[in-house]
Amino acid sequence: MITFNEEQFTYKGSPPRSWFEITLQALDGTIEPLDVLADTGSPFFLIVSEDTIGRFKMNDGPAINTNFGPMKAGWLQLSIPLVREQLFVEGYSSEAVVSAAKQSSSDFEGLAGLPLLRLLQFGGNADFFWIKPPVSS
Amino acid sequence: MNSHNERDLNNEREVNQEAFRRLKGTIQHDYPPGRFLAIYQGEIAGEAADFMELRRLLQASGKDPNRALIAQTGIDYPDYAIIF
Repeated sequence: MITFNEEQFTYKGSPPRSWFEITLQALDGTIEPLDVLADTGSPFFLIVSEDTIGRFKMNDGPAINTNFGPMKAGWLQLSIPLVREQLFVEGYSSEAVVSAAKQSSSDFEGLAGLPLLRLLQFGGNADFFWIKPPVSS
Repeated sequence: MNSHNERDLNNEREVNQEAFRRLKGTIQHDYPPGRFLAIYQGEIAGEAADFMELRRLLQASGKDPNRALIAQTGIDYPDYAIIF
């Protein structure tokens, strides 16, 4: 049974990964959909390529070092189709992380971490990963 | 953009990053959590309840909002983190 506004994403890649679609919006109105891995093990809202950060970043954020190397931070405006509208989140850029994601599927353009997932409800079963709007307070 | 301007912007960005590292403890101590705070040319330039409001405040004060480093108060910004 499909719940209203629940979006389901059949696992993708080899090995299969949880993923979902986001939309980035730049200040000039440019919009681009991205398929991103869902990774509760990442403490960052979103990690994308340096090119993506360069095209969509609104402001710098504090840079950080990680086990994948240094990452620059940039504030991004994103939405999640049919689930969440207009979020401003701190994104990070890492070619190493994006390259690792693409090892599973070349469709993956980034990694969505636990902070972003906590802005939603999310889960999965044997066939698909699902997301839906947060519980109303 | 010519290389001179690009170099200036990169220097400015590094100045803001260094200022954040230097001011991180002060920011967490002096500002309530859940605010957005701007560092502009190495100094705290304003804070607001939401991201776009902060950009508007910067613009209204004659600053280019695109050139500010923005951080959230009450958030832990470690120097190093592990991605699993």
